[in-house]
Amino acid sequence: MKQLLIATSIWFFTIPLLLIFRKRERLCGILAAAGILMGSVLSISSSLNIVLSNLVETITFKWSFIIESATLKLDPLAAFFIIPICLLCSLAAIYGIGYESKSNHGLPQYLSWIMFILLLMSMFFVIIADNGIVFLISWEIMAVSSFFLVIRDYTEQSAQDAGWLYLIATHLGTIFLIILFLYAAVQTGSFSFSLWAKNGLKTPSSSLLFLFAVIGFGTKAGFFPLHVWLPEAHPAAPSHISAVMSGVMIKTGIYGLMRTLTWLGPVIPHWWGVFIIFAGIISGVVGVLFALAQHDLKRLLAYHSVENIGIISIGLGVGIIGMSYSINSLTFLGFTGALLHTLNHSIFKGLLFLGAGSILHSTGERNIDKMGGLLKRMPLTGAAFLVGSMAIVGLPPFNGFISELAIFISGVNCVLSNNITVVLCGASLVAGLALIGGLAAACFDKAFGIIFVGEPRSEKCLLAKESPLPMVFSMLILAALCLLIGLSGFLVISIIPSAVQTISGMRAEEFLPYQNQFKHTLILVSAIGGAVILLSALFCIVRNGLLSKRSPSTAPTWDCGYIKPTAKMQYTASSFAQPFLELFKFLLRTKSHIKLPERLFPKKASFHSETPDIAHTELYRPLFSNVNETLARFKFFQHGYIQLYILYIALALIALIVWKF
Amino acid sequence: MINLESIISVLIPLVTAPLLLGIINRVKATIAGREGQPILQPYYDIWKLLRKSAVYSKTTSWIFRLGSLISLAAIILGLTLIPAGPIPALIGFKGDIFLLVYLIGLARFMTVISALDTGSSFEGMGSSREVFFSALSEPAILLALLALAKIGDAYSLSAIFANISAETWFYKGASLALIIGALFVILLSENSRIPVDDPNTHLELTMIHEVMVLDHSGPDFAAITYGSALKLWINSALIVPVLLPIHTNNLSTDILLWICGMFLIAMVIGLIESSMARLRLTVVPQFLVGATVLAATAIILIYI
Repeated sequence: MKQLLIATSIWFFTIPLLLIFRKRERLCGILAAAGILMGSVLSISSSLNIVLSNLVETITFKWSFIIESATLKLDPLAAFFIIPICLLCSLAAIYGIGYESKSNHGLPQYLSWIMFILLLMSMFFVIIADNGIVFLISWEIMAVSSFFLVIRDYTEQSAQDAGWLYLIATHLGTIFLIILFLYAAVQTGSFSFSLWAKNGLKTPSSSLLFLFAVIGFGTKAGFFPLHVWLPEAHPAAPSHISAVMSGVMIKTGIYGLMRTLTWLGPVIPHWWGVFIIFAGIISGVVGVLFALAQHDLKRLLAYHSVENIGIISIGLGVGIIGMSYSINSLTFLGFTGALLHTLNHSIFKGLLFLGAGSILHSTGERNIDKMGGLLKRMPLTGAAFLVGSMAIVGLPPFNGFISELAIFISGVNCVLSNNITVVLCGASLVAGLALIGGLAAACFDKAFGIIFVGEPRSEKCLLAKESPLPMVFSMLILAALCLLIGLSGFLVISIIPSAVQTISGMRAEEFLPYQNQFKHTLILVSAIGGAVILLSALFCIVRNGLLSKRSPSTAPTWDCGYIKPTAKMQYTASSFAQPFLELFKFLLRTKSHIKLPERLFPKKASFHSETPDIAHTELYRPLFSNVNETLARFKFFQHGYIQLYILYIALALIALIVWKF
Repeated sequence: MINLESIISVLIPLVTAPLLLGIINRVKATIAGREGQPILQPYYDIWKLLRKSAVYSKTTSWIFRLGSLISLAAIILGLTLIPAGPIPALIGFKGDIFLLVYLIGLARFMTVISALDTGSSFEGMGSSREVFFSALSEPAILLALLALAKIGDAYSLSAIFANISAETWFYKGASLALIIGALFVILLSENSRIPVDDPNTHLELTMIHEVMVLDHSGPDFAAITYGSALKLWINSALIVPVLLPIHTNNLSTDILLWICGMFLIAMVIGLIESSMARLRLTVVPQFLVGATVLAATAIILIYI
């Protein structure tokens, strides 16, 4: 805990330094990144210690605002979330040194660095807060600091719209949290999380509290249909901020849900788990389908966050089912899958957003259909992006596979149980996860295949150059982590059990057999993953040996007899995804604008398609315009006469006095 | 666990798999009244390709050079998870079915990005269709394997197949039949056979698998041809133990029976290819979703 406080003070004292050196932009970046890195190393090492030895450390401050004292608590669950937050933030900060070097028209650089540090600190305090008030204040700072980062380029209309949407969404979510916390505080007479967990929030309406938590935290996490802010805010924010927001900030929602379980458990209704599993499947499938339909790379990645939050909540749901039916194997595997996927997603999604940023930095382009052939021009970005793509799809030997495997195996466990509800959940989740996996593979085949290979589809991509060193460095570290975790899953899962224990309240020996079994599975998975790499290398040596004497030749791509193929004739992302859009058109409702070539010597023809978010167009827009219309009827109250406003206040006061007597 | 003595379960397919393609071709030729190519033709083809040089497209990068090899490696490692009749798989563990499906997924991912690496719109079209159909068949294959896991009451392929016997057909027959149906549809689609794709053509209407590998040549193409034979073997090996769950305590008889079962599957594929036309592309999704429905029904039927 002491180390964490030192870390926060380092971050805090970086802020005045940034203010002093605000004129020297490059120095600002280096200072901020150095501060963030130092604090993060300290926090990660101390958090690792906590999760590995299953400790709980607390520290209490005197505070005279609403509450007597504010407690910070680092238990294994909190420590588990601290690790990805600090890891990704420090790498994103290093990346930011290179990324921010391009001049922008929005927020000055020192301010955006200060907001970055505030975002990191607020996430940090959200995780270690042991008190509702501290939590809510940090939660709010987190929302506001990330809002300023989303509107960094505030001169652009799209950034303003995105920021506005984000601000509304996050506050609507927070309302539910405030109600949840106030209710809990009234019930127990305290804002202390530890007390809530110790005594349990045993109220008849605990299901209602659970739903409030799902809505409140789900808005931050991005459950469908609460996800609408994600595909707007992520593309607007600078890429290293998108990486942090998508990689770790939305995970505070998952953390919140897990923390809520410690208060509402251990006796919980069966339907919660079923509900979370199906919410996860829906988020996953809808997220990945909308991702397939996107042309904007960062929007596509944002929809994949919705998908991956879906996968995480499937695991979470299995864990809850395990708790409610007291099936220890499900509790362990479900929560393990959710936690592992949280860690893994922060790494590969961070990597992919940094990759998108690298492309944007070098070409200024976000539209996939204008890219192509970037692997030859940006070899390191390309290789890192490929690793990220394979990891997010869940292919062995990368890290995405091991977390999806945990959830898949929990699905088999469900199906082999005797309870029909659990069996149906298991079958649905396996089918759902398989569909999500297949669609995600299609989406990243499309993303990598159209962006990085083939011929460049635009001038900007033809002239693209590799990004500066700090950016490449961060991406390569993350890519290496994807492979490392994928190959050493059996070691990595030793950081999981203590966090699972914190959520479920189980004793270690209760799930030890499942833990050992899963470890055993992961050893074999790693062996096969390693073997894939070795065998491919062997084949490569053999092939090169065979070809070395035969001098292979190069030629243009076989064009089926066509004389002059051009880069324009390549398959595009839109054409690649077209079969999916056709099959799922009832959901996606892609709008195409076609101008066909006309007459004998056609002049201009064009095709353009867009896929607006269904929750946005079908749910929120009608809802809010109705609300607007209804409230407009009360507009007569508002006419600009100050005297009348004072009269309202006086009337209200009189009414209150009358009511009190 | 790793059973080193079952290394033979990997060696048999490595040697025998191309024979399946030969059998399919021979059956088709016989029905069409032709003499047909030698039954060992796939071996000659692979051998011929291995001795040739290669031509690489100027557009391609290292992805193209590595893609076919990584695909082959992934499929060969998939074989280590497949039991050979009475012999348990080389490697078996709780949840190996998922690793198997995802290894095949890895192979496909590499094939697809290698195809896109050429920048050819034909290969782009093939890739698009390949990922489209495979995304739809993924739930079907996992649900079918899950139903098998429920019937065999086990977590790994070797244990599942060991627990399914002729007796199982008496009380779980309906489910088993549906599972075989689903697995067979997936076999046809994953290995680009009629009615989903036509392996004999690589142009125009049937551009799926064959068109993706249009630009491969020499040893790379040998790896692809060999890989697709092995993949066909894997898909068949998931069906045979369910179709012919005969355990006679005599190892060599069982192995022989199992290999005959594999050849039987190849003959059935040949029969289908001779008697059916390819489905319209727009109908294929229904065909694949049908397989998912079959597998889901199988799971529900286990309870009745």
